[in-house]
Amino acid sequence: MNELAVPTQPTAAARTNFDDADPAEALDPAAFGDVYAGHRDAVYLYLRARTSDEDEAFDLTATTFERALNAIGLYRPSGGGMRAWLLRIARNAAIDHGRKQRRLVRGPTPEAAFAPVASAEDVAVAADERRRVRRLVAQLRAPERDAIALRYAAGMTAREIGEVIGRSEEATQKMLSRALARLKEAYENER
Amino acid sequence: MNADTPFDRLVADALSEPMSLETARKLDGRIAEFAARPSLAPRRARLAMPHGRTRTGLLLAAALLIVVGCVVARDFYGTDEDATQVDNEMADARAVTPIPPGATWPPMHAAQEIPDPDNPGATIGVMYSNPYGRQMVEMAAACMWEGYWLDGHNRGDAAQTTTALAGLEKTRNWVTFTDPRLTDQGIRDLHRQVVDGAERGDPAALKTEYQAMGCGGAPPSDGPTPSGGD
Repeated sequence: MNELAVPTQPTAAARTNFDDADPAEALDPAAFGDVYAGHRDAVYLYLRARTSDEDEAFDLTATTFERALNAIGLYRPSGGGMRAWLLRIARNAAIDHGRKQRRLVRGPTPEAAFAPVASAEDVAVAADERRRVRRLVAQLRAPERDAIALRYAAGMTAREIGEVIGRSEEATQKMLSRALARLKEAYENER
Repeated sequence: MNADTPFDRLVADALSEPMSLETARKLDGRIAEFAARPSLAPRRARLAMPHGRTRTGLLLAAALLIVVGCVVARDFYGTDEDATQVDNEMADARAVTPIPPGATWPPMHAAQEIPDPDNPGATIGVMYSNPYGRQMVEMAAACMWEGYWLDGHNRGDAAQTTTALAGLEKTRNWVTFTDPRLTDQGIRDLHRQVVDGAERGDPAALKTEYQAMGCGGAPPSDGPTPSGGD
């Protein structure tokens, strides 16, 4: 893909990172569409897990790729690769946003006025459960929240997570176990 | 870490639930627009500006497009607004939104502050997205028309149900029930069923929406004209 148009779905030919490309090509923003297509969902799911708010996750995902596009010429293949680089940008964008929003919360959406319709009860219960888990994840302490979001939303291994949050694989693994135990405790206490 | 426990699977399901197609389309559009900025496309050919009469014509056309763009931009949803702006928006919307004969608007004010969940006794500011106020007004008015129709239907008052049906027909075109940027497909479909059902004299969908919108408890079975929900 040589134009800047962004595909809606990753194509079979899409290169999901620049790590196997030669350094000269890695500097070319014209191939950014492939990077976006390959990592869009992981970045969005990570940010949604981190914020528990779909609107915020949308804005932060856009901010992440906008920042990445501006800085793509600075990217060099290193530990964790393109995905870790993008998720570090995403994490920093979320931290910046958190600082700005500390004293503001968003009002309820009009849709919140609608209670689940009884005919869709089963679907609504399952969706409620998933929303509840995401809300509890968003209430974890920042490092644990990051670890859980990167593991389950972005599908990263402990070593890859360590590349993003700046910890060793072993320390990350311990943090993941602690975070999951804390999340489970909070989940069971709410039942 | 054991990755196969039921709780692991629940967390994985919750956090890997895909984004909606609508969100994906919006995101793709935003990134494509950003990526197409001239400063990010240095290799693209730049059109040379013609001279003379053609250039003057193009400049006039560009000026016209800017004016049109400004008018269109005023209709762009999603901009942040504070509680005072929402109150003003609700006042504007109430002035043009019809309600049933004899009905009155419920008190409607956007909260400036709400209790801070992290600091008991403290408050925290609230921000809204345009057109939150208009949606609140339209939903309150829809409640009134639905209650008015149900009341007439239950009492067998043909004149009232006819008036109410005319009001409900207008709600079909309100942004709250038509714009996919504001409400999801399920809500838009349900509202179509509400008005279609009222036309046929079938209150089932209307009762469902009346309760789902929190229009003031159970649908009226008899009694006074409803005043709508908060």
